[in-house]
Amino acid sequence: MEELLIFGWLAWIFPLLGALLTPLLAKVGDRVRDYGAIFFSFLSVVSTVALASYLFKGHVDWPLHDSFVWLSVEGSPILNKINAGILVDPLSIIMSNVVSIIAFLIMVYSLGYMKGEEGLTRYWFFMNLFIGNMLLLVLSDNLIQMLFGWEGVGLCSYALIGFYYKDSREGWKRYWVGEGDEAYPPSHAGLKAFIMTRFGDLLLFVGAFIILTFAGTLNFVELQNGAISRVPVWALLPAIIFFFGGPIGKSAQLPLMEWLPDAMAGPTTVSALIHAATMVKAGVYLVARMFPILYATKLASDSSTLLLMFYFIAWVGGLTSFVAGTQAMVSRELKKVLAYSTVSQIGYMMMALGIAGLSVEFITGYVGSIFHLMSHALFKAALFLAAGSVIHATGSRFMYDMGGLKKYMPITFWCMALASCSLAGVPILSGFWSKDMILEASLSSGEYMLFLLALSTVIVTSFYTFRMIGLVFYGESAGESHEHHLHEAPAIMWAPYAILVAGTVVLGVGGYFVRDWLIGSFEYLMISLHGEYISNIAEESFIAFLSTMCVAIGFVPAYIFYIKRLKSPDLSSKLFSSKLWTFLAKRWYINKIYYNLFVYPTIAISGWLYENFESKVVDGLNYYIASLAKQFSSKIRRIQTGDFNDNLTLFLLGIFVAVIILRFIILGVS
Amino acid sequence: MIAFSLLQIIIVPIFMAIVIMLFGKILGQKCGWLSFASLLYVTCIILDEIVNLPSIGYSLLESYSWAPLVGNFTLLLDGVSGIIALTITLLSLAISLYSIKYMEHEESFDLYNVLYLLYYSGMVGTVLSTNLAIFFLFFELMLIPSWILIGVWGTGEREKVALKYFLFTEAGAVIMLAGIGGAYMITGSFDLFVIAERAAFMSKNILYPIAVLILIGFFVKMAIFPLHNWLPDAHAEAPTPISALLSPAMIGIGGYAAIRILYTSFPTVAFDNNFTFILTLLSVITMAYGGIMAFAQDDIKRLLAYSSISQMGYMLFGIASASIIGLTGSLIIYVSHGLSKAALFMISGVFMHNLKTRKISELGGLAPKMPLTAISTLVSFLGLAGVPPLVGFWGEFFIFSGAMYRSFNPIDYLKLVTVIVGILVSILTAGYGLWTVRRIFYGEPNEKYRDVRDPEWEMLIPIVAMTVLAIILGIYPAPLTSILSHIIKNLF
Amino acid sequence: MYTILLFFIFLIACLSIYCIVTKRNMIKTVLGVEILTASINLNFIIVGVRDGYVDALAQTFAIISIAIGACIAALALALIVNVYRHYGKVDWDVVRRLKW
Repeated sequence: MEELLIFGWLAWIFPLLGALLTPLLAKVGDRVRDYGAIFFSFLSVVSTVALASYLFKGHVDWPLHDSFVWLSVEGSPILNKINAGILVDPLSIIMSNVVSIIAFLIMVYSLGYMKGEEGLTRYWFFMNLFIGNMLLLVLSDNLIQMLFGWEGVGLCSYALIGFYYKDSREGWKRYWVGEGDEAYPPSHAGLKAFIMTRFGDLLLFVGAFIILTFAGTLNFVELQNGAISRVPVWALLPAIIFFFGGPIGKSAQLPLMEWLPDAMAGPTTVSALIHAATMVKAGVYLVARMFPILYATKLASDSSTLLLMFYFIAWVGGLTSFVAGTQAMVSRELKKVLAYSTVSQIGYMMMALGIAGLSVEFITGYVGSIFHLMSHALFKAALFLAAGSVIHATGSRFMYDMGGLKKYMPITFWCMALASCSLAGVPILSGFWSKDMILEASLSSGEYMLFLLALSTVIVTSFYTFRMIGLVFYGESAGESHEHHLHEAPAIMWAPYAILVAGTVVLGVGGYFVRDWLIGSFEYLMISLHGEYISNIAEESFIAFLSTMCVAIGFVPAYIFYIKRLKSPDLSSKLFSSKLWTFLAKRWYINKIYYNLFVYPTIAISGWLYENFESKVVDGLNYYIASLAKQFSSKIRRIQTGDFNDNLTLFLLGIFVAVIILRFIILGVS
Repeated sequence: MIAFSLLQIIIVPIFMAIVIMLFGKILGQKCGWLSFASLLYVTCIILDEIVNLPSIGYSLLESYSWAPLVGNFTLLLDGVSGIIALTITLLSLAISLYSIKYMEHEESFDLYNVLYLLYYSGMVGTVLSTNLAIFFLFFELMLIPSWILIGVWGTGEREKVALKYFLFTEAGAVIMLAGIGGAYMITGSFDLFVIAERAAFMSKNILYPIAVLILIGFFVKMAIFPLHNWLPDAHAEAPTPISALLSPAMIGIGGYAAIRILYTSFPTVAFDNNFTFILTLLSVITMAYGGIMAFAQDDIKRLLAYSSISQMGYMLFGIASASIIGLTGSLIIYVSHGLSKAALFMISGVFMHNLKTRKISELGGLAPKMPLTAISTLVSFLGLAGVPPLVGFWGEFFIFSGAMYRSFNPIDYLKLVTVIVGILVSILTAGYGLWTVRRIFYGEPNEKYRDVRDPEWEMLIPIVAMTVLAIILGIYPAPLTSILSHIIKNLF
Repeated sequence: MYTILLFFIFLIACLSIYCIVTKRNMIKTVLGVEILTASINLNFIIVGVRDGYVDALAQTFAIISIAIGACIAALALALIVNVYRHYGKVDWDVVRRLKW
C-alpha cells in the first residue's frame, strides 16, 4: 500500500532538480537544455500517474501520508514540531495529475512557441521550478509546506509574467497588455500580480495564525482528525474569512481579480500553464482541501454562524463569475477574453464549493467543482495554446488584427471551436457535464439566487466565447495579416492542444460515467461526513435543458454579429449603450479604483510624509535640540568675561559655597 | 575545545588591529587580507564552538576576574548569542573581502582596517558579555570606530552626519547607562544573572523605569520610530562596506540586547501585558513608517536605510510577543535581515563603484548586463519580504504566529487588531522591494551602461554567498531553530 | 570681646574682598590679597585664645600663614613687574584676551 508513496515525493523533487540543472545543461548546449527540461517534466508525469494507480485499487484507507520532522521549536506551545510530508488522497491525486500532464504538454508546445526567443535558460528554469512548486503545493500535508509551494508558484508567476522584461515599446503589440491608459508593460504586470497575490497571502496568514493559536497545528491530517475543534466558533468564523483571502488572491476572485487579465503580458505558454490550468486553481484546491475540515466543524457545532463561511465562499464565487463574464464580453484582446473566462469559471468552482457546504448533499457540489477543475484545465489550456498559435501567426494580440483565419489555420480552428463549445457548455462535451453538476448542486441546495446568477453567467459565457471564435476565424482578414504569411502552426505546436481537445471530447462523451466514477472515488468523504447522494434524473434533465437553452440564447447574437457577420460587429458595441460598454471595458472601474486608492496615494503619501514630516518635523526636532544647546551655551558663556576682577569674584564665591557645603551638608548640621 | 575561545574571539581582532596600525604603511593594500585572515580565524573558532554547543548543554560560559567592584569579565556563548555572533562574524568576514576591492582607490586603507577590526570586536563583545558594565564598554567600543569610519571615508556631508550619528547614539547610550546605574543601585551588581535573582522579588514599579531607561538606549540603536532619525543619514552617507555592517549587524544588536537583558533580568516587566502592548504598537508604527518612507526615496542607500528601520520594527514585534516562538522568530529575522541587507548594501556599493551613481532614477534596464547581481537583488528583497523558501519567511511566520498567540492568551482585542494591522503592513516591504528591482533592472536598457558587467569576484562572491546562505537556511532551518529554541525556552 | 574681635575680622575680610574685586590696578589687588591674608592670620590667633593660655597650634598656623603670605606677595609682585616691563601699564585690561 505504501510503496508507491515515494512517488509523492519524487513528483515535485524531479522538476525542482530539473530547474536547478537547467543552467548547467545550458552550458552544454541549447538542445540539451531544452530536452533536459522537458525530460524532468516528463518524470513528474510518470510519478503522478504512478500515484493515480491508487484511484483504481478500490478500498484504500484514505488519506495516505508520509512525513518527517522538518524543524522543531522546543518548548513552544504552538508549532512545537513542524513536519514536512506528503498527503495522497483522491483530491491531490487528481489535481497533481492534471498539473503534471498539462504541464508536460505545454512544455512540449513551448519548444515550438518559444523558439528563437532570448533568455530561454531563464524560461526553462522557471517553468520547471513552477511545476515543482505546484506539485509541492498539491501534495503537501500541512499548510506551512504548502505555503512554500504557494509562494513559490507566485514567484515563478512573477518572473514568467515579466519574462519580456525589456518592456520594449516596439513589441507593444505582442508583449504588452492592455491599451490606452491601462496599457501595462510586462514587468509592471508581474509586479502587480505578485503584490496582489501577496496581499491575499497576508490575509491567509492572519486566518492561519488564528487557527494555529487554538489548534496548535497546521497539519491537514491532524486538523481533520479533530484539532480544528479546539478553535472556538467566534474565532473560527473571522479566521476562515481571513483565510479565504489567500484563495481569493491566488485564484483571482473578487476583489483581487485584477492581476489576472494583466498577467497576459507573459508568453502564451505561461498564460496557459499558470493562469489557466494550474496556479489559479491552487486557491480552489486549498478551499477543497479545507472543505472536509470545515464541513465537519459545521456539523459538530449547532450554530448557524458557521454557515456564513460557506455563504461567503459561494457568493464570492458567484459574483466573480458573473462580473468577469461581463468584462469578457467587450474585450478587444484575445488572451484577455480567455483570462476573464478563467476567472469566471473559477468563480463557478468556488461557488460550487460554497454551495456544497450549505447542504447535506455536499458531494454534488464538491465533486462538481473538482470535475469542473479537471475539464476546465483541459479546455482552457487548449484554448490558450491555440490562441498562442494564432498570435504567433498574426503577430498581434488584438482581435481586430485577426479575422478570417479559418481557411488558413483549419486544425487550430477546429480545436479552438471544440474547446470553446466545451467552455460554453454545449452538450456531450466535458464542460457541459461539469457545469451541469454545479448547477444541479445550486438548485438542490435551495440557493435560487445563486442558481439564477449561474444561469445568466452561462448566457454570458456562451456569448463571449462565440464572439471570440467569430472575430478570430470568420469575417475578412484584417490588414496586418498580409505581412505575415499565414499558415498553420507546426506540428509540435498543434499536437499538444489537439491532445487536450481530444481529452475534453473523451471526457465529454463518457461524461456520465466519469461523473459516477468521481463520486465513487470520494465515497470515503461521504461516509465520514454523513453525506448522501441522490441521483434525480428528472432534475438533471431539467437542468440540462435549461443550460442548453442558455447556451443557445448566448449563441444567437454572437452568431449574428460575429460569425455570419450579418451585421457589422461594430454595431454590436452600439447595441449596448456606450456608457455600459465603457463600464464593462474599463473592467467595472475596479482597476482604476485600485490604482487611485492604493497605488498612487501610497506614493503620494510617502513623498508628502518624507518632505514634510520626516525632513521638517523629525529632523527639525533634532536640529532644534542641537540649536538649543548652542543657544544655552552662548548665554552661559557670558559668565566668563575675561575681566580679572570678575574671575576673582567667582573664585571667592566658589570657595564660599564649597565651605558651606563642606560644613553643613557633608559634616552635618549641628 | 579551544582554550580561551571566547576571549580569543574578542582579542584576536584587537591584536591584529594593533599589528596593522604598526606596520600599516609597509603593508599598504595588503592589510585588507590580514584583517580578512584574522576574521576567518575567528569564524572558525565560533563555528567550532557552536557545533559543540549541543553536547555541553547549550551554553559556554567563560569568566575572568577583573575588577571586583564591577564584577567578573564574563563571556557567554549560548544558542542566542552564538547565532548572533556567528552572523556578525560572517558578515564582517564577507564585507572585509568586499572592502578590499571597494576601497581600492581610497587612502589610509590601513587605518580603515584598524578601525574595522576594532568595530568588529566591539560588536561581538557586546553580544558575548553578560556583565552590564562590560556590555556598556563594548557598546561604546562599537560606537567610536564607526564614527570615525563614517566621518573620514563617507560621502556627502560626512562630518556632520558622523557627528549626528555619534551624538544621537551616545545620548541613547547615556540614558542606558542611567538605567544600568539604576539596576546597580537596587540590586548591587552588574552581572545579569545576579540582577535576575535579586530583581525577582522587587515590585514592578521600581523595575519598570529602569527597564524603560535601558530599553531607550536600545531603541535608539535599533532606530525604532521616534528615535530613528539618525539612521537614514548615517547609512546613506557611510562608506558602503560600513553601511553593510552598520545596518544589519549593529542595529540588530539592540534587539539582541533587549531580548537578553529584558528577558533574563527583568522578566516580570517583559511579560507585563501593558508593556508588551506598547511595544507591539511601537513596532507596528515603525514597520509601517519605514516601509512608507522607503517608497519616496530615490537614493538607493537611503531606501535601504528606511527598509532597515522597517525590519527592526519586525524584530521588535517578535520581542514584544513574549512567546518562545516570537523570540525565535525575531532572532531569525536578525539573521535573515543581516544576510539580505548586507547583500543589498554591497550591491548598492557595486552601483556606486562601477556605475558611479546611486540614484535609482539614473539606473534602469540593467538585468541583461548584470544577471547575477539582478538575481541576488531580487532574492534579497524577497527575503526581506518574507517569501519562502528564504529564511526570512520563517522569521516572519514565527513572529506573526507568536504575536497572534500572545494576543489570544490572555485575550486582548486591542493587541489583536494591532497584530493584524502589523501583518497586513508587511505588504509594503514586498511593494518597495519589487518596485526597486523593477526600476533598476527591468525596462529599456540605458545607453550609457552599455559596457557594464557583473562586478569582480571580490565583490561578487560575498554577495552571492549571502544570497545562497539565505536560501539554504530557508529550506532547512532546523539547525538554526533548534539552537535558538533550546536557550529561549530557558528564558521562560 | 571675643565676638567683637571676630566681627572686626569679618569686617576686614569684607573690605579686602571689596578691594580685590573692584580695583583695576594690579598692585592694589595684591594689597587686597595681603589684607585678606592678614585678617585670616588674625582669625587664627584669636581662635587660639583659651582661658588663661594660648593654643600653640593656632599660633603655629598663624606664623606659617604669614610666611606663606609673604611668598605669595613676592611671587605676585614679580609677575606684575614682568607685566609692567612688557606692557608699560599695570592695569588688568592689558592681560585680558577673552573679550565680552
